[in-house]
Amino acid sequence: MLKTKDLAYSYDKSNWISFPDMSCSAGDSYLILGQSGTGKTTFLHLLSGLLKPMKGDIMIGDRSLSKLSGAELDKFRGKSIGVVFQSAHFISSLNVMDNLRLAQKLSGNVIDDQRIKSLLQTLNLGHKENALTRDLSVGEKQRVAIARAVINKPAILLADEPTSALDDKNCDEVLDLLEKTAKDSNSILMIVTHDNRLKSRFENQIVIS
Amino acid sequence: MNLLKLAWKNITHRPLNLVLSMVLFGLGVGLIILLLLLNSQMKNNFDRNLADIDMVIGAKGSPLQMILCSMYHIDNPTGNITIGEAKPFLNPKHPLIKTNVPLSLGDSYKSHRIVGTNHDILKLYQGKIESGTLWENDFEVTIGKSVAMDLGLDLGDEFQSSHGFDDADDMEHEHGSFKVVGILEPTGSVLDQLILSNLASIWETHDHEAGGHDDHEGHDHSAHAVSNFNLLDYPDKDITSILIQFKSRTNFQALNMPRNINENTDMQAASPAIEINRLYSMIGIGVDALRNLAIIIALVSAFSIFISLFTSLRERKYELALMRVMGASPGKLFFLIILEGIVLAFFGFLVGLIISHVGMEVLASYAKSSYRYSFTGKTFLNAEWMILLVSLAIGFVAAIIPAIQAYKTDIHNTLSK
Repeated sequence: MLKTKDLAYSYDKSNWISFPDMSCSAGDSYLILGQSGTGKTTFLHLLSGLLKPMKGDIMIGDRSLSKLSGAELDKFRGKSIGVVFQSAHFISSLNVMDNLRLAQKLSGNVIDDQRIKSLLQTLNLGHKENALTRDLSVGEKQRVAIARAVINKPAILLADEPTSALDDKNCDEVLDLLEKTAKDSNSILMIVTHDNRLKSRFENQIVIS
Repeated sequence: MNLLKLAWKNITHRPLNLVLSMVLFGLGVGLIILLLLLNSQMKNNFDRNLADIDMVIGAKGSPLQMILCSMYHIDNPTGNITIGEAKPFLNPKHPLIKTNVPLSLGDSYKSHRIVGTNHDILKLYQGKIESGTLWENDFEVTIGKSVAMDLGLDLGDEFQSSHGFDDADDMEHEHGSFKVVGILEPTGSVLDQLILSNLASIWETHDHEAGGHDDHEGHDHSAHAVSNFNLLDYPDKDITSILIQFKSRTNFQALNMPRNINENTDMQAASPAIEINRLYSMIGIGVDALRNLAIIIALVSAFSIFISLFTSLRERKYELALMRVMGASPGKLFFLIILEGIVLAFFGFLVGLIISHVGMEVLASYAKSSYRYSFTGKTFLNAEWMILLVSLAIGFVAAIIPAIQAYKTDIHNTLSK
């Protein structure tokens, strides 16, 4: 469960960006729409605990993000939030398997190779376990990034412009995957985008302006 | 997938950087360890060969040369003294002298020195016979273990000596074929490198050479048998030097003896301990210079570790931010970079360890022929643990600034780009 209330952020203490209140429950999917420069990234970083709210609060489950200390927030983020970034980045020195292991380890969970392997299977990446991430195709990279985001069964799966660089066919595939994996791990899916193709697909839409 | 493994993967992911850092670090560490090994083994060698000898008497010249020649068998003799001159010090009843060992040097066989002396020399170095017997009659020799092994000599073998230390054919003596009658147990001292004979064998060789004697046709090889040979009966014969142990090292008269000899006779006396200390202080300057060089290399290599981490961090900024997203605390990133510095330093240390000990083995093969000492790269010093600790500390220090940078990674700004 995710709730935001009176959320606002300012980089210079004079211009405040306010965000709409939300209340989402597990398994829901949301589209967060807005043109460039409207504060989409800020909202994403607030929701993922990378920025601390300056006004208002974010509740995830029964935890209030603004009340967590730095270290608690790091831990909480690792366990409860998965993020798929616009362009996929990995620890370049590690192979696919180790990147996912690291994600488990850093979140404080036990490393579970079975879970990693079955997840890679469902994402059609079973044969890429030992590949270095730089050797993957763009599509494969994005799927590994999705795998990494959901490996710890996060409460919230955030995706930042996951489709902006894709054609219609791949766009649909990625959305399918995101929805499927979010559902499998019972996460709230939030897609931050300015891609209008997605509007028709999601009921719940929040517009930031 | 723990941090150590991640640090290891990060380091090995950039092999060129790794090799550069390790080679630089390894050179610094290797040079320092090599110096320590050389220093300690040389000191050990010198100390063992001091053999509680308190004084050496020989011909006037450089006291250090006399010591190096008579005790370490590195240098050439300063000259000869006659038994007549040295008579008081060869007297077994001298009130202050416990042991006197006369030496007659000047010949060698394949770079191993032939020493004319009596059986007391064995007491100085705790030498024991391993096979055969001790030298007794003229031209019988008992050889040190290293001589036997290096030259492949065995009991009953015969050889011609040559003059001086060189192995030149034209220096070979026509006369006197030495016969091996015994081999000594290894002692770890200079004794291992020597060929021991009685004094008369050396005289015979050289008298013939000078054409002094004509009676060699019928001379009796047992005429100078060590067991009933009284040196003092030959006051005109030459010896090179005398090794002396005092009865008491604190006796005032004994302490003054070297000065008395130097002032009142045509001979010189020197204390090995003093001369060897003088030698240390002379070598010490070179060792200091090398050590400073090694420290500079170590500092440069610390700097290379720093640069290597620093530049890699710029490339890895996004990765570090990602790790934060995945739940890593800033402290963990700090620790990761520190770990990378320490792991780099550790492997640099290993490279240095290999360089130094292999280098020592290579040096040993050269040193054996020119110094008559066996060095080895197979022994380790306690100081090497210290160097390991210092190396790790250098890795730590070199990683601090990059680690602080990693600690301060601004996730929001990095990921917004």
